[in-house]
Amino acid sequence: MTATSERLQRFMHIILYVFGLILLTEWLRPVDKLTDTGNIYIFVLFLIFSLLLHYFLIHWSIRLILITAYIMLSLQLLYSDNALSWMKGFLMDFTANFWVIYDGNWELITNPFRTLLFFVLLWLVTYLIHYWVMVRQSILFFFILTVIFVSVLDTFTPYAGNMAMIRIIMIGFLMLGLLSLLRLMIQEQIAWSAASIKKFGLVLFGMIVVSTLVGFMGPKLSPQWPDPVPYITSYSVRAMQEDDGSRDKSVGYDEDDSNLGGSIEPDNTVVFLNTAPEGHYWKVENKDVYTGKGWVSIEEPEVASFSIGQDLGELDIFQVPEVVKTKEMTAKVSMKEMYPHILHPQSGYLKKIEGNTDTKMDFIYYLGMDKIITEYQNGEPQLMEDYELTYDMPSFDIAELRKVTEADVSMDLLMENNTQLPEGLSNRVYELASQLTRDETNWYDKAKVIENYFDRPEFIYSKDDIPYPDTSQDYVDQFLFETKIGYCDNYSTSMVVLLRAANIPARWVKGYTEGEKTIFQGESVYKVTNNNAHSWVEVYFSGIGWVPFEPTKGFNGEVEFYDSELKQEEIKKSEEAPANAEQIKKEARERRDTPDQEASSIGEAGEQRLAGQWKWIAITLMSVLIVTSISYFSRRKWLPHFHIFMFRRKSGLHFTSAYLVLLKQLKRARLNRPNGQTLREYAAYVDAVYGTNEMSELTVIYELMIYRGDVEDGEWEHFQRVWEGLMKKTSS
Amino acid sequence: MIYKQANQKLEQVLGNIEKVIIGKRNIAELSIVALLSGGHVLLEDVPGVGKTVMVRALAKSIGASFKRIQFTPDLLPSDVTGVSIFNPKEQAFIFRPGPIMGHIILADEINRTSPKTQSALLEAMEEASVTIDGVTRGLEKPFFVMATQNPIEYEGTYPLPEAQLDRFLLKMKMGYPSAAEEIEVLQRAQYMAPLEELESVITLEELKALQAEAKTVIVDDTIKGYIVELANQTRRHQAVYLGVSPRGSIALMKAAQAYALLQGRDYVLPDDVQYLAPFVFSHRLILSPEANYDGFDAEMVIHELVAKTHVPVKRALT
Repeated sequence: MTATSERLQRFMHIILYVFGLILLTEWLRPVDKLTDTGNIYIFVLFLIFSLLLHYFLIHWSIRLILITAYIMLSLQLLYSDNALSWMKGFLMDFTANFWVIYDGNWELITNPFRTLLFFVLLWLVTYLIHYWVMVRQSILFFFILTVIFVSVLDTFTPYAGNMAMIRIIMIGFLMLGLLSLLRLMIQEQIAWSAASIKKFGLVLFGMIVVSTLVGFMGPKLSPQWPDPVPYITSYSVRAMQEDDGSRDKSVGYDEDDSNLGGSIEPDNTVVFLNTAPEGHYWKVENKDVYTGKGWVSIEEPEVASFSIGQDLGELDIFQVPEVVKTKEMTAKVSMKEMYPHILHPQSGYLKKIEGNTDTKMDFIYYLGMDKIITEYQNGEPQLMEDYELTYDMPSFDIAELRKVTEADVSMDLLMENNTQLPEGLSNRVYELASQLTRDETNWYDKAKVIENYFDRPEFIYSKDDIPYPDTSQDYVDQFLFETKIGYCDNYSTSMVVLLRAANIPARWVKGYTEGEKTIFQGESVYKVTNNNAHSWVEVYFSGIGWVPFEPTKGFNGEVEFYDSELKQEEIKKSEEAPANAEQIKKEARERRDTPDQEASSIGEAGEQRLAGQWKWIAITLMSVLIVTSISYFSRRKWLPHFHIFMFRRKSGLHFTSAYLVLLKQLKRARLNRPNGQTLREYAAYVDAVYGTNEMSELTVIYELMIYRGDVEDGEWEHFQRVWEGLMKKTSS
Repeated sequence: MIYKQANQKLEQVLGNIEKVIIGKRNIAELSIVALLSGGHVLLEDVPGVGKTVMVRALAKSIGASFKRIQFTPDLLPSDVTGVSIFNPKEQAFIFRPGPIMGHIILADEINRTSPKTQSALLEAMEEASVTIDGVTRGLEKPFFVMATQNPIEYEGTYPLPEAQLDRFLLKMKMGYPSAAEEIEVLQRAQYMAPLEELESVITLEELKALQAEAKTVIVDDTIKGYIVELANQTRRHQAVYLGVSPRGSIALMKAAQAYALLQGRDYVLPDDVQYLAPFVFSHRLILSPEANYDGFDAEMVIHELVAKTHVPVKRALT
């Protein structure tokens, strides 16, 4: 190489180093903005210093000393005035920090040590720049990383990367262009001349400037998809809460409802089987106190107790009001997941609980919570696996319900407990409640209006992508006015809160839906799984009692209503009893839009679920794509080892196939064989690159087989080691 | 192992030639290739670069008779082939053999003579026999002609027709020696007459055996396919008016066999084919007038084709 070309090459390298430095400082800029790092220049200076050391190819030992000296000096300047005492302190600091790291107590690492680690990191990166520029002569990877780094910071942090991105793109493309020129000149052995470099460089620069200008000035589309940040932050809130260990987010019965929100995972675990003659909801309990985040029970509930087999009809608390028609039913319940509570039918009036054994069992009944639990013995709850319930299922007369327009005197305590709302509840919830119920006079119609409000199309049923409310945000407020997407807890809690805001006593009920009808051990039973866990609403009507409502989109209350004024027979299995024919039509129209069952895959809820699944499909596809492309692009690294492994496993003669594999692998290692190059010439070239004569050795044998027609005879055993050596060289 | 021996013998011949010709090993090699495969050589060069010495050294090395024909415009066919003269004493025609009746013939400045005389020589080369006055007389074996021609643009020449050129196995250029080589040439010319001291290193019989051996060198189907592909490419090339004939493909194969033998191999490599292709093909191509005008020459076309054509690296599926 002549002196001129050497000088030109050195000049190119200097330019590339400077560009590399600029790209690196783009990594440092956000550090200044986003962390409390005080002095960024000392790091930039370090980058320059380190790159210079790399450029002049100073012996590694001297480099090490100089770098260490620089780091020590800057640490001392940053953290202390007195060099000597600092040095002593630092050494102690150093060992202490090692133990801290060993124990994984990251937050305890001291600042000087963090700075030291940062220096080391920067040093490594400068080496990488040196490697990419001088050895690989390819900067694409680093360029892409830089672009990703800045765009991620720009999206998720306050750092504004607009100008940084323009700088990176310009510098990055200049580097790419110059490096490919460098590679071209070396590969093709083009004579180096200042004129040709200038010509190439100017054209390159011109093209980049013009395209950057066009990109900068040109009109741009607004973002094509919604800002992902809110969802990700809501996920991280959820993750933090999960870290607290407070919640299990799979669907199912859960004691703690004080912090509602977040997405829930499906869970097919069977909770119980029952033999109810007609499918109906099963109740566990209700909760009365709304906190703004969720539900808690009242503090000192009234209790009553009764024992197994006792006739409960005698007790006041299970009395059926006169105006309510009932139908007696019995159901066997067989628990698969054991809980201390006894499941009882939604709105059913219990008459008897029987066990299948003669064991004596007492129950405690929490009146306000409508919850039955088995009595504790020796501090342990007694669990009943199988029991039989006898109960009266009511059907409510809408005409009677409509007569209730206000609370009566007997309901003082109940009004106090069941119209409770948190103090911070926003005005817009009250406004919405009064706006909805303005035109109705009686409580039933008011409740119905609120219930129907959730059938509006803007409300979407989904268990996925449900954010938690912010710390300062009300759970209901968030659902009603912001997200409008959610599952039963969102709908039922919102309805209770709206009812209470309209001064109607209501409570939040949790339990299970009727489940899936199936045949189990020859008997027709309803199978209830954790996916059937549900919550709904009950409203108190004076003289009638608690009447269930079902606000959740796509669900059917399964309680019978009829209207005696319309002289109609029972309207079978209707969620709501239409007051007149016109309303029947209207509701029939609405019901077409709403699926009867959550399980149905058609309808809005189903579509929503599908939409949720798409996200997972997309994520899975993306990860498969990423993994595939990473392994594809890094195949030069791992394929040789794979081939070596495969050929070791095979027995027999494989010289020719192994040689062809080697040819392919060499091609991957960028040792291309032009069409017209013979194997012999190519082997000489490969050997020159790797400094061996192994390729020529193998090639002579291969030539005999292919051009002379020799039959393979033990060559593979002789040359397998040589072949493996070459394969490994290609991957390094 | 027999091929190693062949290689040794041929190396001896080469060494012998190198004693008198400096720095032209490739030309000597190619001449031996032609000799082994029973072909003839056309040297296109200016006078005085050592063509004669080269051929004479070759002749001496193999112990063959050497004849030289200097072609001039007034040379007659019978001056080449020989003539029957009436002997009044014996009342019979006596045949006087011409200079072609030898083993190694140097046909100097072949393009300076009339086409009639040229064709007499070329016919003899092709048929390995001459017919004079109705009597066909076979030529001795080995029979090897090295013809030289002045570059065509020199005045007073009769260019050889393309069909005739086809008769030569190889066409090559000797070129001037490098400065250092030329000093060495002067050195030797000053003190000795090296040619006179050369002795034969192999006999004619051995040469014939080597010629027979060259025919047994293995040419795999992949190599045959490669040769045919190269020939085909010349026929399709844009700058070529007339491509290489199948005779050209055969010539390349035979030359490659001889070259492989010279290298001590009993099989032909694509490397052999690539090396020989310009020498075998270049005089068999006729470039289009446009290509000529653009400064293309046949060798450039062949080099381009060799670089472009895929070298077979796998056995053909047969």
